[in-house]
Amino acid sequence: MSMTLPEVDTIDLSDPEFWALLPHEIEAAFAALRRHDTIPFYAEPEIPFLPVGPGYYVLTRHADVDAASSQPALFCSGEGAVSIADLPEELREFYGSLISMDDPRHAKIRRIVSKAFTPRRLESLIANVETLTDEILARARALAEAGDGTFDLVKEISSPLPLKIICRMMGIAEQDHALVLEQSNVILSGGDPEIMTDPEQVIVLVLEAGAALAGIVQRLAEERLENPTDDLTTALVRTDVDGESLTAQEIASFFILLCVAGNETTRNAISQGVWALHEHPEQKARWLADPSLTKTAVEEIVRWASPVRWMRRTATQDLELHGQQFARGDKFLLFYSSANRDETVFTDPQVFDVGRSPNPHFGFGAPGPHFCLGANLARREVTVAFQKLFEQMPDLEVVGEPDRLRSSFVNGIKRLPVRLTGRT
Amino acid sequence: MTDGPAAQVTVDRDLCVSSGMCESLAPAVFEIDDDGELVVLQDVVQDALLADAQAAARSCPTRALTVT
Repeated sequence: MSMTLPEVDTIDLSDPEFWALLPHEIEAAFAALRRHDTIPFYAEPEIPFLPVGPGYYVLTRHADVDAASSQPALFCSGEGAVSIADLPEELREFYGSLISMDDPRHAKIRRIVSKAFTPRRLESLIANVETLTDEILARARALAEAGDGTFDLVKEISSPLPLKIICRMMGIAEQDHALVLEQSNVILSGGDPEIMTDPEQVIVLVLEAGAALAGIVQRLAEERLENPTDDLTTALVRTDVDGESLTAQEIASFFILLCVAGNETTRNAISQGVWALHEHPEQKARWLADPSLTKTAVEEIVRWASPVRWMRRTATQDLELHGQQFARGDKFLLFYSSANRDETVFTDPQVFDVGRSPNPHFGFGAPGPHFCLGANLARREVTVAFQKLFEQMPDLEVVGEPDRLRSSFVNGIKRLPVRLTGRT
Repeated sequence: MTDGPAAQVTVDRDLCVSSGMCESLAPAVFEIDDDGELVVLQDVVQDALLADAQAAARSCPTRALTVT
C-alpha cells in the first residue's frame, strides 16, 4: 500500500495538533521518520508549572527501539519512563513505581508481583474472566434492547472488563470500581481537552487523581494486614524485599501503575480491535470461519492497536546508536507504534492480517526488563472478549466513527457507537 | 521418539524477571513457582520439548534463557 509521506521537517511530535490528526496521517508521518536516516530531535511540549527540559530524541525503527530497550544499563528508566518532562518530586511519589525504576530494585519488586501474573495463576482467573465477560455482555444487550439498539462499546464493554478484573485481583470493593476508572482516565488523558478542560489544571488534576487512588489502596492495605486474603494487595503488604517491606507509598504507587496500565491498555486493544474488524470485514469473516486463528489474531490486534505508543529512556552515559552520537542525560522516546509498522521487519505492515506470522511486535514493549508484566493477562482478556463477542453478539455492528483520544502516549478510543441489529 | 539431539536449558538469574512467557510456551519445561522464581523442570530437553524450549528462549523478553 502506498502512502504520500510528509516532509520530515514539517512533522512536530510535540505539537498537540499532531496527535489530533487521523490515524493514517500519523502513520504516514512515522513512515517518513523511519525512512529518514537521522534520529529526529524535538523540543519538549510545555506543561504549566513544569520547567521545560532540553528536548528528546525519537526512535521510530524496530531495530533502534530494540537496541535501547534491551540495553537497560545504557538506556535507563529511573529518570522517568512515562513522561517526557522530568517529574517534580510530588508526582514521582505517585507515579514512580516499577515502570520508572531500574534494577536491582526493579528486579526484586517485579519478582514479588510477577507471581500474580504467571500463566498458572492466570489459569485460575480464566473462569472469572469468562463469567465477568458474560455478565458485561448481558448487561450491554439488555441496555441496547431497552433502547434503540445502540450503545457505546467503550463504556459498556471495553472499559468494565479489564477494570473489574484488575480490581478483583487487587481486592478492590465493587463500590470503588467507578472511582478507579474515573481517576485512571484523568491520569492517562494526556491533556485531552475533553477530560482536561483547563490545561493550567493538568498537574493539579493528575495529582488529585493519584491521591484518590492512593487513598483507596492505603485503606485496603491496612485491612489486609489485619485480615489477609489471597489477593494481590495481601501479597504486597506481606512481602519483604531484602528484609524490608514495601512502604504504604510504594504499595500505592504500584496500585496506581496497575490501575492505569491494567485498564487503559486492554480497553483500547478491545475497542481498536472491534474497529479494525469493522474496517476489515474480510478479516473478521476469516477469523470467524477459523477459530484456530485466535492466537495470531489477538497478537495482530495488539500490534495494530499499539495501545501504549511509547516509553521513555534516558542515556546513562555517552553512547552511539544508529551511527549517531548521544550524550549522557539525552532523552529518548521509544515509539513501539512505529516499530510495529516497520517495513523492514513486517511484510505489508499497513495490512491488518489476523493470520500474521511471524509477528515480532512491540505492543507489550520491546525486549528487556520492563516487558509488560500483564502481557499474559491482557492476551487472555482480549481473547475472551472476542470469543464472547462473536458468540453472544454476532449481530453487533459499528454504526459510527470512533471518537479518538488526543494523546501521544495512549492510542485511545473514547467512544465507539455500536448497535445490536437483532439479526444474525 | 526420543532419539533426536538433546540440549541443555539454562537460565541467567540476573536477567530473568519471571514474565512467564516460557511457561506459556513450554509448560513441561518451565514453571514460575509460588515465590515467583522460575523453576526449570527439565534441564535436558529433546524432540518436541526441545522445539518448545527453543521457542520459549526466542520469546523470552529479557533473553534470560539459553537452549544449547
